Amino acid sequence: MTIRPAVSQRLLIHLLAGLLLMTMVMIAPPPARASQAHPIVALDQAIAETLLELGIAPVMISQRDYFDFWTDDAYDASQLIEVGQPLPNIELLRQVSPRQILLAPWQAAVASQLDAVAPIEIVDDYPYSSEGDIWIHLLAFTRQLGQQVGRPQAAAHLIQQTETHLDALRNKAMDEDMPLLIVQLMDQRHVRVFGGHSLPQGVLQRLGLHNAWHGATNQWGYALVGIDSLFDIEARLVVIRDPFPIGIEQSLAQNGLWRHLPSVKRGDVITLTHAFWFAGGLPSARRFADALVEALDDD
Amino acid sequence: MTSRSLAWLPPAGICLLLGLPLLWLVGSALAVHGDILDTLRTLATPAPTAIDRLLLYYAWWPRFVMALLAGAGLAVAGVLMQQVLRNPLASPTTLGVASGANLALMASTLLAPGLLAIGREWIALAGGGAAVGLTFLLSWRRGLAPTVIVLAGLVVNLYLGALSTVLLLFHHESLNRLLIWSAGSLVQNGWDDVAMLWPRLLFAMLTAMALLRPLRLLELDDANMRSLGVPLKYLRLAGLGLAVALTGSIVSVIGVIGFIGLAAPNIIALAGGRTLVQRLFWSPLLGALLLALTDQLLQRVGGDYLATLVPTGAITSLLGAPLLLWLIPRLRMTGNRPRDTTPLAGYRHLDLKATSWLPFLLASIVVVALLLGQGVDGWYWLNPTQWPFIEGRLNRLLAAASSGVMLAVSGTVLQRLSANPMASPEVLGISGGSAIAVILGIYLLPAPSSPMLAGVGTLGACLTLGLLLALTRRRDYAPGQLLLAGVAIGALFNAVSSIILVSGDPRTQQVLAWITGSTYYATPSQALLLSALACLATLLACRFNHWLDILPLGGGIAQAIGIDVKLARLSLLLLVAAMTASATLIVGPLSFIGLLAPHLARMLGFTRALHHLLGAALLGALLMIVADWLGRQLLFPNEIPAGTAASLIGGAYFMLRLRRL
Repeated sequence: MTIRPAVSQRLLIHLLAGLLLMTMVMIAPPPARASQAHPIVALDQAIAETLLELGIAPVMISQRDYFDFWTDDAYDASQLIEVGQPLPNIELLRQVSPRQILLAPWQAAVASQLDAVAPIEIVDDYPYSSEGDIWIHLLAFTRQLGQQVGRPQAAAHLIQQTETHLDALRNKAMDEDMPLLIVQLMDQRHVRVFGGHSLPQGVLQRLGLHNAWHGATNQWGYALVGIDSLFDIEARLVVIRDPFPIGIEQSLAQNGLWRHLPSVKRGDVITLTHAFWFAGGLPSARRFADALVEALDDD
Repeated sequence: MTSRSLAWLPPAGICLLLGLPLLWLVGSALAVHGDILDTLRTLATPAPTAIDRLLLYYAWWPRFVMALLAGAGLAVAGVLMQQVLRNPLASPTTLGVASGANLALMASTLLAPGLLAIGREWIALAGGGAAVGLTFLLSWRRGLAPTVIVLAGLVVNLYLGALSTVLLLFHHESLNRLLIWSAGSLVQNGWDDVAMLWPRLLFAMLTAMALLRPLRLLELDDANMRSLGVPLKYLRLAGLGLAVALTGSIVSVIGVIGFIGLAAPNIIALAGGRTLVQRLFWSPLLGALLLALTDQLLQRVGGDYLATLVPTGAITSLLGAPLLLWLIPRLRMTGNRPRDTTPLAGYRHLDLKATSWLPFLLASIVVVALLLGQGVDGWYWLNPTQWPFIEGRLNRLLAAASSGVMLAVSGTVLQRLSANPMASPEVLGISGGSAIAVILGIYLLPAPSSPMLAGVGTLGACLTLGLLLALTRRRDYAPGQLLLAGVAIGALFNAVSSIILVSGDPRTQQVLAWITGSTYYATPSQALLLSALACLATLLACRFNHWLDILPLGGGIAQAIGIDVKLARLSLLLLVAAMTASATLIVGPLSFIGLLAPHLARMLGFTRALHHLLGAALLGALLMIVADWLGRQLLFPNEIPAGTAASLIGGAYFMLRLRRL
């Protein structure tokens, strides 16, 4: 019993000494990052990719690797700064002192935490929070973003450019009269199928193509269904490019139901070779249109 | 079994009762496709051409057969486990098979996607096997004693679940597809999986038959069996190994189907199927019927109206948890309870001087957590004048510390009150109940604000606690029963959150960030309010300290001394509910702190109630601050929420302790 106080005192002294040492070693001047251009924070992928197309850089996004995949590596590393998952790192933001933070309506919950860091704006014309024609919403969204970052002309230009581009593609895709079924393979048994209020739906409309999925969809315009639900639909399958899961094609090839899907039997399944984000903005729409028409052209 | 509530209905009657509606559902589902005889004939036509027939042959029939097979297999596994562990509440999901398989699949999806091409089944089996291995390892020293195994399984489940959550937080989009599997979808597209499963089921049944005689001996108690020369460990290992392999192959094909393995054998037992042979014969039948009926109903109700798939597995958990809660008071718990660890761990008497370093340690950690952090250029110390930074950190620190204090005090009160060293708000499911209420609040309230959610959370905690007490009252709040009620509520929470996660909506990441317990949203006023609440609640608990000194001795003694036992219990438990709800709002339902801090405090010598409470409170604050700080630094700029970080730290420690239990 007599030893114990000595032990704890020694422990305490060691701790304090260690702390002191750490302080001396690690002491560094307080952060100052005024030199770089102040970025705009965009936690939503549709907002981030549209901003980059409006000529704004750097943009702070939550996760680099997924962004790079879904944008098909379209943007330079110097244009992007990571701000952390699952919620933006506030201390990092304070250091970088962004000039503006743009949030999608569904991210509004973080606003109360971030408004001390930089002015926050919520993009209310967000394409995936309202019913109606998705393409009209995408355009309105782009225009509002242009207003909010003070580049209305760049936004108008982006809209005009995308529409002309899609019109040109429309001529190429004209002879495809079979309805299409846009799916993302989730595993051997389930797919996401895009319809109603989705980005692929908007692009198909612009290209004069038909979407075969008329079933219920969620807010982002897709439904999660078993492969069996695709059966009685007469359509050509379009498989979205996706980072995961590898090996699914092989297992599908041996799989009874998949092999008997009308489109698979005819051998006219299209697999897209470029990626796009299903809840993206005009840049994603354009990439999807490019990939689709390229694949349709190839047969 | 002690209760005969179902004795008027023999097992065959129950099966008939479930079989008839199933037959009707199947008949009407097939009738859509034409003449029933004709649709049966499709089974014999291997290469149909008409689309209707194709769907029947490749989707409808395999799904139906799979439901029957999986239900039967899980029930067999359940019977085996319950027999081997002599614990009617053991079941395939309790030993960690599913969470191990889940984690292994997630990790290989992210780190080595090439492995997935070789075969998901093998990865899932390896992961599930490793998890069960860990559970066994933790309980090996106690000769795989039944309750210790269940407890070890519970901890392993929670721990692996926390690890999976970390992966899910940062890779939600690519792991979403695994969530569909792990939530237990029965959708089929061919006969491959059925072909893989039925020989395994047959093998398991035959082996179980072969082991029938020695397995029956397991109904004796340990000492008797040893004197008969039964190699206990190896017999248990063989029985459990068989059950685990069977569960593993089912889980790898269709994911986690909750509760069939638990419910089927227990219903049969309640209906009078008391011998092992009876249970081994009727349970698979009932399991098959239960799962097939649930699945058919779900297809009928959900198919046309929902844009998302509702996995059958999550639904069985949702339906099964109330069933388990209903079963608890009706079951007889045999097997040894976890021993009170007091003499084992060599607790020493409190020497206040020897623990005087604790406040100093806390103070220095507070200083470090406030001033040291990472930024654009790496590590740096804050200058105390940079108030906005310090203010932000202070909010989070206060929120974390007060939640830690409240959980620790709740845990201490519960452990003393129930004289059960394993009791804690997390293990008893009070946090889970509070979390379910808050999730429902987020989804159902038009504009949920923090105070509203706090109210809803408290209500949830109170209801859960009330339910727990009502269910275990007849058994004098026996520790084992309390624990298992906690398991049921935990499973309910998992079912609710997996139904929400499966949709793959980008918003779910925010729900996830909340469920996992981040201090991110702490505002200055919230932090101050929480600290005030924590202080107040601790003071209140300390006022009751002499109750807490006496109540562990048993209600009789307390009564004799002149304590109104009912009043004392009730007021203490209300205090626990309020504290747990407030803490859960910040750190989420799974943090282990409420379990860990009281234990640590006792190990350090805080044995009397007052010291125990204060020591646990200090340690709870300390652990939570460390977890919050580490969680923000480890993956900078990404952040592991404090609750999850705490469960990773706390769980690891707890597993070490359990091994020595």
